[in-house]
Amino acid sequence: VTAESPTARSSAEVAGGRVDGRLIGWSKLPLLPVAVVVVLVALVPVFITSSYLIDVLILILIYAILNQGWNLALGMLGAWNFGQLALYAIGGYGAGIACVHLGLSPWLGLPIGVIAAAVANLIIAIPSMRLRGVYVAILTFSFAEVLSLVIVLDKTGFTGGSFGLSGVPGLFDGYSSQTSQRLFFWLCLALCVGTALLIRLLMNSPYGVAFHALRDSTRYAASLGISMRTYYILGTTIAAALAGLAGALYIFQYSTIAPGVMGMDQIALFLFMIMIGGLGTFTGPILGTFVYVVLNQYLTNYGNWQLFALGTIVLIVVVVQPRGLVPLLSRILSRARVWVNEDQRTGSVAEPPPDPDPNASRGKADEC
Amino acid sequence: VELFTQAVVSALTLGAIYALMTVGLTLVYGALRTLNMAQGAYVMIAGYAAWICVAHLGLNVWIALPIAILVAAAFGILTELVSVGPFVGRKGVDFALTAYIATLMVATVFSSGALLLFGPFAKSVPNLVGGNFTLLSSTVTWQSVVVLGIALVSFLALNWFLNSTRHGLSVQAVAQQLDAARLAGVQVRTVYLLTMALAGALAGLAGVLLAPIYFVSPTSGGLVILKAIIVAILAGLGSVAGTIWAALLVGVVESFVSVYIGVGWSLPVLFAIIFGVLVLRPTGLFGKRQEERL
Repeated sequence: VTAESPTARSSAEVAGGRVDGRLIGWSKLPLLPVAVVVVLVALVPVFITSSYLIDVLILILIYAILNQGWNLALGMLGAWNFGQLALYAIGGYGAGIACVHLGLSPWLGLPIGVIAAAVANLIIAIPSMRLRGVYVAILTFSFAEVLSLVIVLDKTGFTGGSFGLSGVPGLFDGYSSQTSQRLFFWLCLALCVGTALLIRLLMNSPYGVAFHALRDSTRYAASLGISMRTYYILGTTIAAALAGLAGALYIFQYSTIAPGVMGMDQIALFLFMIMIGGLGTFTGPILGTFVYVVLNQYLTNYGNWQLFALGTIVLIVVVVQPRGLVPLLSRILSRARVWVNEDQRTGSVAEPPPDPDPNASRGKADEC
Repeated sequence: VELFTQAVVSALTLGAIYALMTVGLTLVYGALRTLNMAQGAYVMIAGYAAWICVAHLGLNVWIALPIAILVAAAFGILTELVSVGPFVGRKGVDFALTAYIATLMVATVFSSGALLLFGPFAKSVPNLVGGNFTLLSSTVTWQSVVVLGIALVSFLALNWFLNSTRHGLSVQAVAQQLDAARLAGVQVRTVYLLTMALAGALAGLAGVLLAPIYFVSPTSGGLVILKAIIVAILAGLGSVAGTIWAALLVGVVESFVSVYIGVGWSLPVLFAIIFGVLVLRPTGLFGKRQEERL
């Protein structure tokens, strides 16, 4: 693996044979806090019996999987993929069609959805590689539009047309409704945590270095021998598989899916989540999803104000803090840490706190 | 023959309107290097402005036209101030991507704002001129003739502005070489504002012309931006003359597909064409490979 990326090789030389991640800004995973949070979230259904609240949490987890995947493509690889929701829909439709029309078990439908999205990604990723920025956005966007129009115009009943595909069985249909909901929640949690770990491992590896290099300067990356073709396909395929997974989970949760899931306002909503959290950061998409779903619980009471308010909020956040909330929070956190450390060294002349540069280079914030 | 003539007339009319609203997109991409997703919203806003003038203030459509254009231009400037300007030259921010997403959000805010203010029902704006005449045994409205005339005049005016005035030349200079333009003393920020106002005005003009055909509703901006993007990609972003030809082509495809295959099929066919064009000729039919633009 290391031999493929010259960047990693040079850093390996510095560290004396082993890749010392800190040299290129990789941070260590704070294992204990993360484990505590995961266990606490996993225990929620034991203490809270409200099935509505658990449904909300399941939605957060499903959206978090999708957003992490999209963030991988958009923020980390720099692929202007605005057709991610089409891949999400393909995952859902793939799983749903496998269960409804082929009569397969939902447990087979889940991987079928993932594979369908990953394969469909090739249709847009291969032509995308020849294009620049905005053109990629439009190509992927038009792919989503064509797909949604084709489904709407489908009169054969295969996809259910504009009314959507329905009657999809759940994953845990054999159990009581409470047990099946809990099991599904834990499955989603496990998959969401797995997604986060996968992305973290990927980004803290030579692959991640190659992704960032391609995002920041494709030509420079190419001059270092990083193959656009290999890494672009790899990155977008992983992102697509995650979108497919989220889509399949969505259809098993709601047992229905309609072409509206890839509409333009949906794209705006998911971009809201990613931008609020912080594009290109690890925890940004998860935080953003949480913020969105919680905000939305209040905003749905105001009907038409919902999109207006969300759009305004994201505009304000993006103008004030273009890189989202996570870099802001981590800056506050590091400042607090400096402040606490100073407090402990009472009496001694504190060295001036390392003022975190608000205009720090982009790579620094990627590791939050 | 009747059907054919009708299809040709509607192709020309639609093509002219699409060209008007897409040229703004092209100008903005040329000068600001970002795609303005709010371009469709100006068309909708101008439609609503004209509707207010006619239905509530009782004004003539011809007076509503310049008012709507001014309103749309003001919204163009607003977009620049909110979603493009704040990211210019900001360190650690991918300008093109952030501005693109921000304009998408602006479009969302505008259309949901329209939904709040005017409700979901479509409003109609009267034609600029009524009546029709007979051409080759099929009826042609005077409106479509007026639309073609207005489009033609606007493009001549735009051509004169870009090539013969100080401000037009500075827009071109920024599009060709940002740093050189700055060195030569061009106020880049002013050019950005000017370009966005111009884009808004052209979209506003298109909005008033389009309103009698498609009506005005909060979602009409989304449909319009899809059409504008199709035209822009066919043309290759950044070529004004190419945009006009591509708009006519899109108008032809749309009206012939609607007449001969079915109304619902025009968008899928257009998107399929886009997909093909992007795969076979990544810079569009008239796009230029190099930085030379406009």
